[in-house]
Amino acid sequence: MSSVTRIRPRYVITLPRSLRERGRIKVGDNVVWMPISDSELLAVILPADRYQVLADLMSGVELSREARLAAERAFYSEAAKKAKH
Amino acid sequence: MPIVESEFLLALRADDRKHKAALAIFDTYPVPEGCSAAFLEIAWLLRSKGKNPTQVSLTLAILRAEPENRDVTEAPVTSSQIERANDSLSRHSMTFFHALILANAEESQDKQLVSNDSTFDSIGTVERISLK
Repeated sequence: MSSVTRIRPRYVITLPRSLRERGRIKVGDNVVWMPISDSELLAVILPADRYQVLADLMSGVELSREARLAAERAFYSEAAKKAKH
Repeated sequence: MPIVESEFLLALRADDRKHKAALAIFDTYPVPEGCSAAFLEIAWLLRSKGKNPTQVSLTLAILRAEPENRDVTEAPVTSSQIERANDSLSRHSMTFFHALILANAEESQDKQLVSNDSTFDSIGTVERISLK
């Protein structure tokens, strides 16, 4: 269900109760705002513990020489693909 | 103040074995500089592991928020550093990201780099500070 919130001075907004309850949003959680267009934003709610969020988002990522080479190969491969188009 | 690279950013993960060492860097060096090239490497490390674009964007946003909250400045990649990196790539065995990070540290005021990667030692242009 959509809802409308007015932006108050200093651009403060209150998250509607329905959204808070649906997303189990708590005070202290992190909101990542990602621009989609000039009038659209994607707001992603993440738990308060940023270090745990990073652990979840970067699970399985390591920094061995092999991993660094794989990252470089992925970078060059994508660049080559773009260059062909 | 030293430059922090990809290893430091990865060590901000709660379950990383160098997590406490990474946080201790903030105590020893209150205002380290975050290396832009390290953020680029992290993005491609994630992509090479099959993480989707949204996961990559969220990770970079959270990684950027942490230093910003601690007044960590960002050391941007400059055209001069790209020239240095190009030179390093032709003379040493290192990845593109290594070369950019090294160039970033070489042009920093203190020429110090927080990293456990001994690849940087062979060049001899920066002082490496280990994440212990």
